[in-house]
Amino acid sequence: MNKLRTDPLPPLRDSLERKLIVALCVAALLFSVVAGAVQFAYSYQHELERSRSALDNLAATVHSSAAIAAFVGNDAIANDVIEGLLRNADILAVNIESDTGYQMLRWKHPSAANWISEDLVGYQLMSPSGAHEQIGTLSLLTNAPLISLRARNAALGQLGMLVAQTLVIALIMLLAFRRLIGYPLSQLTRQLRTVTPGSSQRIDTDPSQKGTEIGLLAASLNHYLAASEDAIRAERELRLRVESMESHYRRIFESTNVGIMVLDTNGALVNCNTVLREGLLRPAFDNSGSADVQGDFLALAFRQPERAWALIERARTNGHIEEADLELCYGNGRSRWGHCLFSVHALEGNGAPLIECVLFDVTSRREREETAVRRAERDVLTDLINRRGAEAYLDRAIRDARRADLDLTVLYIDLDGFKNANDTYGHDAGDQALIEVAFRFGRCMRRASDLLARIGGDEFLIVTYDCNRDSAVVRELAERLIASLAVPISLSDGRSTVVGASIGIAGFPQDGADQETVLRVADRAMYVAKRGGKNRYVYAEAQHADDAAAP
Amino acid sequence: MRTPASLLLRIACTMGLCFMVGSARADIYVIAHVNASTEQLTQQQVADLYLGRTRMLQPGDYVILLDQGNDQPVRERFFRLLTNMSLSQVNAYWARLRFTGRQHPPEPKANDAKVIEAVSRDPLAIGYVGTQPGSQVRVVLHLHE
Repeated sequence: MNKLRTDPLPPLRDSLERKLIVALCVAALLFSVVAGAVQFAYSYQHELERSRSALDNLAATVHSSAAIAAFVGNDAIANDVIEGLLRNADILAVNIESDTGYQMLRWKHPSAANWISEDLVGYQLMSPSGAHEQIGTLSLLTNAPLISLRARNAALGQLGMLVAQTLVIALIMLLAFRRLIGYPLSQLTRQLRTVTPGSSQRIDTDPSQKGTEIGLLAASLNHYLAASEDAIRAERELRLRVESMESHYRRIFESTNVGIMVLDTNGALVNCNTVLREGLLRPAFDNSGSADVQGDFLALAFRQPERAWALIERARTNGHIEEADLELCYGNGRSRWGHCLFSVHALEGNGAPLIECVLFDVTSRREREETAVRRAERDVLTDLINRRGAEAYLDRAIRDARRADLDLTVLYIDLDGFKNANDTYGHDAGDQALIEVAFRFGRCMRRASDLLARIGGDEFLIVTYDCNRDSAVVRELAERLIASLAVPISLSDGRSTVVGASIGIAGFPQDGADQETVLRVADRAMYVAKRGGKNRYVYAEAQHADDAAAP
Repeated sequence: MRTPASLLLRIACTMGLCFMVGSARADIYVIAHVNASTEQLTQQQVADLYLGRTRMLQPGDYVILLDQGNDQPVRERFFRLLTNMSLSQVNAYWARLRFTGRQHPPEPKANDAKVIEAVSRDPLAIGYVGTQPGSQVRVVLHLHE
């Protein structure tokens, strides 16, 4: 976590230094071009003027001699003056002439070019006497190309100097930048890079940087590092606390055997815990363990989702928790039950409310309850349905048969000679005999859905569904039942006993419209069979039933 | 009796006299022989002659110029009135001309009397004096101070 990041600095693609170089070069270039042009023009002009000024001075120097020569027409002085002047490289030819007609013209080279009026400079020659009158002219033919060339060379020299100065200054600035800014900045950056956020590391700077912008930057960074260290430490502590709390709650959420799920108002699953995902509602999830988050999860979870929705609607309107036992979809034939507590909460900020459902597995309780019910309807000795269960079954069967417009037949069986055996061999033997009889009767049953019940001490009842009492099936069943008792019943102590069966047969709807009537009619028929000599079966007759009901 | 007023008056009269005498002495007279061909000369003509620009007044009419000694105050006055040049300028000027070997400065005479004497003897001579000359020479130009 606190691993030091020492990966090298990425290469600077666009360093300040390079930018500065470019900026300096551009500035130097621009400056050289502009200032150079100005400087060149100025130097050139200045040099020309200087040449002209030198020429003027020269002319002034020789003026008095030239004036005398012109004044008196003295060739020797004029020659002297002209020779002196021609020694100057700038002068190609000299002409001295006076108003009185004196003239002397000399060329530096005999083959010199023609006069060019622009290059000709004339000076007035004044009288040597004090009078301010012009007595002649001193004309100088200048070597204009030479002067111009020299001026250009001088200007170029100045220009070169300027450019060199500019370059030197740019170089100095660049070096100064590197020394004063670039290097300290990159040092600072390198240090900052090795600092782990939240650690106690700080940036060291050269003491000479104290008071500079770099020093200020380093100080600010250190301040920031200190602040971030505090913040990160606080954050870390807080996060640890939150994490421990969260894992605590997560453990509760995940380890409890209470299922918790959160749905949106469309019934789509937002979140649930593993109890639901891997236990109670596993069939609602696909193989990857995720639910269809778009669809109505309640339809997948509950056999009767409309009940769940009704509870949710109530919870939404009254703001309380609504609870009920709901059957869960558990696929494989077994039914599972959940006790569900629904509540609807509006989230802060987010407008759409969420549905919370807490779900306990109450399958075992329901099963216990059902078992208790079943046990109440079952005979403990033979594990057959007892009288109460038989009556309930018959109620349902008659209801179903009436709805489906079907027949059913009731066989009321009373054992013959059982009291005798019971008295002779004891209760245990009686019980054994009853168990054996139940077993033998069970083997005679046409199908498992038909009812075999023990409705009294030695009384049994068989109900065959979708079967007319006069059919061969019923007759054969009655005969099989009687025949099954023909073989003596072996008792545990080695002895054996024989019991018989008197059977009364009644049918729905011929012999009665309800359970009580049908049973009574069948019972009456059974007594008829007893009186008729036992070990036989007798079909009920309606009038008998009515007679029997009359007294 | 001598009063301050009479003293002042006498000083003023003396100063006025002195001024008049000085003024008369400052004039320069350019002179020629009484039989010379020229009656009058302009200041320009005289300057051209004395600065060596010309040596004759008309073609073929050469003149002989007479100067005065460098120590004579009249020479300084003469060149100042004629050309507005100081003596040192004039000397330098002539030194330059003389250096060429072709021109010679006018011949110097010791004083006004020698000049007058030389001019009165030579019809080609021209000179100058600081005092009004007598009738033995002709004044061809009068330079006033």
